[in-house]
Amino acid sequence: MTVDAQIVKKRMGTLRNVPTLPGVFERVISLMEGSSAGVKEVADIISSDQALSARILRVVNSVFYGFPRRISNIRHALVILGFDVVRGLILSTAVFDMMRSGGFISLWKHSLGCATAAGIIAQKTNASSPEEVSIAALLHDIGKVIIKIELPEESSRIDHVLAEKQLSTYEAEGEILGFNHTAVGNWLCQEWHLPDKLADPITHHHTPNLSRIAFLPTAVVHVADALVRGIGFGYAGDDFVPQIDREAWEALDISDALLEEIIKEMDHKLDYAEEFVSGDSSEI
Amino acid sequence: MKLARPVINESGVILLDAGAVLTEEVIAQLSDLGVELIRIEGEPRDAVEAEKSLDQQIADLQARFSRVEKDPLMNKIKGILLQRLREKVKGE
Repeated sequence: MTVDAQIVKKRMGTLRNVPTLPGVFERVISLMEGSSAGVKEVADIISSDQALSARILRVVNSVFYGFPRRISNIRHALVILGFDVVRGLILSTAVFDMMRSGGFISLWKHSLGCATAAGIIAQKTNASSPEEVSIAALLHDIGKVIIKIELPEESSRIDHVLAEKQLSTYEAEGEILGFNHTAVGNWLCQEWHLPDKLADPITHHHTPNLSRIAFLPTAVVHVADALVRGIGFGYAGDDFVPQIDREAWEALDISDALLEEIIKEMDHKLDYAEEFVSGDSSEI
Repeated sequence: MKLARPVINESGVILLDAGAVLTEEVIAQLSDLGVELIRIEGEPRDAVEAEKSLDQQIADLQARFSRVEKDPLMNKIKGILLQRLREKVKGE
């Protein structure tokens, strides 16, 4: 365990409990971890919570806009997207609830934009599964929400130092807390038993060169984050586009023409994501 | 009059795609389906963005890239985004 992880674990260990997840999540996890889990069983459990199912489908169809086939029910989602993605989707609805009730709609918009961008990049570079990487991108800033909610005093100091010194959120967190939202995200991934392919991009989206397990998906989320901030879709906590890591960029092998194509498609799909955000802020 | 954005139901399924022509019949059907808000072409997409002039949007974009302006890759990305911003405004 790194020093960062130890500090976070100690700091977060003082919280009363891990952020709550939909009750159905625990049942789905234990079922999926069993060797005999079948699509029907898992689908039945998720579908038993109608509100959750509706919201999962809403997130599915916003993140995977442009998917060859529209996804109309949970069983369909499980067959097409796989257990890990659906697990991530259940989590995403919980994360969205946290973002919405905490008043972080702009961060949700940034996350949704990042998921859209990551899906496009993954699809055009064949770097990783577009669905999995989209979910990782949707969850990549979860640590920021936890810091805002659980550490309000430090959080306002972060905002203060960020404005005063013109720092990025990542830098300001380091200065005030001694660790960053990525370390909190990593802690949460462990608590929630997320697979490495989701946990690694969440943990290393600012430092893809440190990713040892899922480098390409991490590189995709890293680049998607920078592009979405460049476009100015949503708000990730500060006004600055982060530097793209050279190694991550080269690994994705994005030519100038492909970059233009990616940005063009982002423009189009973000318009669609925008519709969901404006609906989400009032409807769900 | 054309639809600027797709109309989406609660499950995220598209009921009517962007670009569809809004005849009286179509509007009545949407109304029957309980659709209360649609966006038509030519309507400002975002009140705040719409109020921003091109110059302001360019200044915002420059500010977002201010910490990475010396990097050739980041400059390339900024260049593409600037160009698209200008094209979008021209197209409206």
